[in-house]
Amino acid sequence: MSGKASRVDLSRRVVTYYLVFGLAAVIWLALGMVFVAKAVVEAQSESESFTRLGEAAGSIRAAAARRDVALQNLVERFHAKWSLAYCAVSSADGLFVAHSASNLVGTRRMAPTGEVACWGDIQRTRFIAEDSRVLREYQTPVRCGKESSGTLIMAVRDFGGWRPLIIAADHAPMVFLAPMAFVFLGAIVMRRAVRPVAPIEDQLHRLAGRQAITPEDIQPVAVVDPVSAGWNRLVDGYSRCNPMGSMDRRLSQALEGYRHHKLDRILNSLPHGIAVTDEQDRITFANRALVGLLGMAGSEGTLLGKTMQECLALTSGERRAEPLLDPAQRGRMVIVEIGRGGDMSRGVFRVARAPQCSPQAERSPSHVWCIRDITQQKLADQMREQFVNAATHELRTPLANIKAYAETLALSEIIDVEQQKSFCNTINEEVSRLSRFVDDLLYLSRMEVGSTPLNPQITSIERLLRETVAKVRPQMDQKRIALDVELPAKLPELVVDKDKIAVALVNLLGNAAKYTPEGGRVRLHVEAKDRTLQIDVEDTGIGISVGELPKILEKFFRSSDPRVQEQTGSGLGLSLTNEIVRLHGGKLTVQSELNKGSRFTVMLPMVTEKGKCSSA
Amino acid sequence: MRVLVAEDNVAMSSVIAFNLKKAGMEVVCAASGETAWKLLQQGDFDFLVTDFQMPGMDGGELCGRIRQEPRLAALPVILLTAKGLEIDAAYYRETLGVSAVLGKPFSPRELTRLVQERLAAAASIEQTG
Repeated sequence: MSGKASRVDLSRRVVTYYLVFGLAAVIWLALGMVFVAKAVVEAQSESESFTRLGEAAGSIRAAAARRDVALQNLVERFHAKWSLAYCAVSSADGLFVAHSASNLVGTRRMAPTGEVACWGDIQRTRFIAEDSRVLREYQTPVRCGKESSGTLIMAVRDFGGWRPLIIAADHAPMVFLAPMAFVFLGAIVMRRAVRPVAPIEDQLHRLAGRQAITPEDIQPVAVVDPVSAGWNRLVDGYSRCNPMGSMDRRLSQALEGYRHHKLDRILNSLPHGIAVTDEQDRITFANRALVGLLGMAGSEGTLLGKTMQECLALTSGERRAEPLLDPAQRGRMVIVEIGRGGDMSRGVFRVARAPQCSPQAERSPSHVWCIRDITQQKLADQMREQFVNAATHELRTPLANIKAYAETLALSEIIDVEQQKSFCNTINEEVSRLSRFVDDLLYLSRMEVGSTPLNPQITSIERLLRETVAKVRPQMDQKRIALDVELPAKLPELVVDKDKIAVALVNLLGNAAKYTPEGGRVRLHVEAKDRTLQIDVEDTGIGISVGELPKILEKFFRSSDPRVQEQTGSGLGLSLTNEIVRLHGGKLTVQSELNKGSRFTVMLPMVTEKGKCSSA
Repeated sequence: MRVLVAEDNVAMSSVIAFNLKKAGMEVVCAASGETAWKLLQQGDFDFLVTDFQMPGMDGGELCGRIRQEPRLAALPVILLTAKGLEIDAAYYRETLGVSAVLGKPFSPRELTRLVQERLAAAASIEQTG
């Protein structure tokens, strides 16, 4: 049987106990039999003795009545007949008148001492004779003459201990062997009955030592009786309801995994870069956004294990990164703005690092990082600052001039008339310049904010163009610039804001005139195709450098080219034009080559019906 | 007294020159920081009036350079600026020894007076020192 060697199975134990007690019972029975045999034999012997005693007494009385007093013969006869130990008659005065041992006749009787029992007249004494035999002596009063009475004495041998045993042994097969046989048979039967329980007991033993029960621990057994059948039902029932247990486990595992997965998905969906670093600042988690931010898309795995310092290229030299490298600040939230790869011009990151809540505060904690790309924000800030600076300058410069000239005129005592006139003209010019700037600025601001809505009306484009050309021609003629106007034969009437488009065109043509040296050419080319009106203003002027071309439409941008600086300009004209074109749903593009010339192209969607005008 | 006026706006430098000349000074105009620097190194000037915002080398940089040059370290300077409160006037006055920082628009008469005062003070120090 499986299991520990020291352990004894139930079935074996049961059978053993059964055998032990069974055998004990049988042995006790056998012993009992012996005693019974002994008692029976004794009783038999007793009654036999009584009978003989009675007989003998009767014989003696009969003999006495016949006056045939041959007591001695009688006694001897009895002694021989019944195999007595001895037989005797004693007189009233205690002398043997007859004795089977004839030499004892006439001697005094010595009544033996021993165990005495009385039955009426009969007295029996059990005693141990001189030759160590156990004798039973019976005595009874007897008439052995006319007037004389004596005592009849008979002694028989008591049976030795062995006699009953022998008798019992005769009955041994009956008394002893048969019960034994039954007991052993019973043991076999019992063993067979108890054996099916053994595997069950085995399994129960195993279960006793376990913490948790799995279906594998409980097996069905061979069905031989209701117990094993019941066990199998139990196993079956358990394995059926236990899937709930394992399902429960699987469910909680799945939920855990789902939560994990969900958190993972959430973190990976965030637009900000999130990372977790351990106590040694090595990255243990990095979301997708961070990988993208650091320019390592597609190689998420390689971030893990690297230190954040490495990834952000933090060096102790960069002042801005100091708080991140300062060990004293590890326990606090730190927010810094650093350049991408250490270089602010390549992009700006806003890095926030917070210590992860940890019960053990003494160790340098692990951290959670949140990194945002604020390059656009910074650029916007920069632009706003530029705007403010530029606006300030453009507003204050003319004011300064006006004040200076006005004061000089007022306070100076001797200024010749020509000089005075010149000064006054300067003041005038400055006022105009300032006024124009203020107008442009307000116009642009209002348009951007949306408080100057377009006023689209059905307009004759042709007429608009011709009017615009007429406006700029004096400027062109002054510099002897040839203006070529190429218009298609038939231009449709479009829905546009006439005044604003006029402003835009004047600006473009005015620029062309301003920035083209004397004797140059300006070409105004208009064509309508694919529902788009294309207006090109091309010049042979000073052009725009490659570096400045992208910024040309920015507010306040003025080229640093001295030829441009020479000319007055607020830097707002092109951004104003661009805004007007944009509001009409169109697009302004620039092509240019330094010192060769520039071409500004306006594409306007042709809207012929008022309702369909798209405003920005 | 030779005064150098560094100012990119021609109208402005003209009116400043006019006023200073009226006060009896000799005025030379420079349209940029670089030009001013060159002229200062070559020539001999007693005063510098400079605009702050100029293309290329701005007025602040010009002042810095002057103070590092031993020959020009003591040159009196007045700074003109359209920036007003955005400029750290105290820095220029205390660290770079600029006599005055004037915000635009300013009074040319005031400017002239300041220049004259400063020159007079310098002259008296020379006399006594």
